[in-house]
Amino acid sequence: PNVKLVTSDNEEFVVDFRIAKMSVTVSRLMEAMNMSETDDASLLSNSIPLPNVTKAVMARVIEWCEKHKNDEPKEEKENDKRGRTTHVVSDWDKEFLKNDEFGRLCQLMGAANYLEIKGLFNDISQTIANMIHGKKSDEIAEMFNIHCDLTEAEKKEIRKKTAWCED
Amino acid sequence: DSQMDIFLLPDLALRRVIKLMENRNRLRLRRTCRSLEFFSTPPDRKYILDVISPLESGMLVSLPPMEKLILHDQVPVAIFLDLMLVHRSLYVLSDTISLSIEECIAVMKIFSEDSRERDIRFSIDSTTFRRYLTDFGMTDTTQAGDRFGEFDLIGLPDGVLASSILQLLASSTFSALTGRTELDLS
Repeated sequence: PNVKLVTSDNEEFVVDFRIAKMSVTVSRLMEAMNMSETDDASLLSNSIPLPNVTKAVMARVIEWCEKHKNDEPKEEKENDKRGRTTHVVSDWDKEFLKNDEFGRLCQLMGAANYLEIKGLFNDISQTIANMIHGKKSDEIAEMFNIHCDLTEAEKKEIRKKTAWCED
Repeated sequence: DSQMDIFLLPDLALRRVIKLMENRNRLRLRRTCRSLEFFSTPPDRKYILDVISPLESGMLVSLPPMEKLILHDQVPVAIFLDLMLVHRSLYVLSDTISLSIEECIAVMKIFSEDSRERDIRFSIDSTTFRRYLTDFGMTDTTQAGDRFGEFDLIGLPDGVLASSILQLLASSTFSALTGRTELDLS
């Protein structure tokens, strides 16, 4: 069975029921609209409005969902040596996300957040965290065009408090 | 990519990115601007560290802020003052730390300039402190309400000067310090 999803720019996407169910938001809406996998009429007569997602972003979301529709549900682990949350981005996901401009990555992350697709949300989060990994403060500021509005006293205070993390 | 703007990320997403970062990277991000300093500082976490074995001073002063830092060994006064600045509660179990009056005032300054809710309890050798107060004019006729330098005398439960307890309010110079300081002069 298929489900119709309608984006903010009125583009209709017809997707497999399993793909629609990967989004917690869409699942909830389908439930609210009494749309069931076994009731074709309910699926044909309804469409799910997604006012926070554009056509271009939706296409990317569906591409990601198509690839992951048969994945086993992952449990998040807090299992590294320091008890830090870890998320491994697969090679396919790295390839999928690597050519996105940062602005598009943010839009995709916004959509993953709104649609509640945890796997995609975590993939993008980890990709951005990896972009920052190992960079010094001024390099991070340069990469993201961050204008520093901290006073010298504040910088000194933060430096003092965070001195333990420096080499 | 010249269009990279980390603030395009929804708040929740930015928090998630920060959560996935290693501490070292997270703290570097903190230093880039005020918003990220706010985002990267965990608001709810409180750490308690019990340092049982001696630790060199350099390592002690580089510890991140703790809710409670417990030291089992003596530390130099300068280190003690540095630690007091950073950690909300500081316990030195091995011995007392002897402070001069100037150092005692330095402690009170630290507390008066700190916006966190903090509690200070310390004992001061009576002769040292009595000398300090008499320098400011404390006499046998001293009464509650009199002022001595930085302190207002607000109570003498056992009588003038013979009292083992003086209740002092230190607020004249250190305007932010309004708590009552009870000094045991026994």
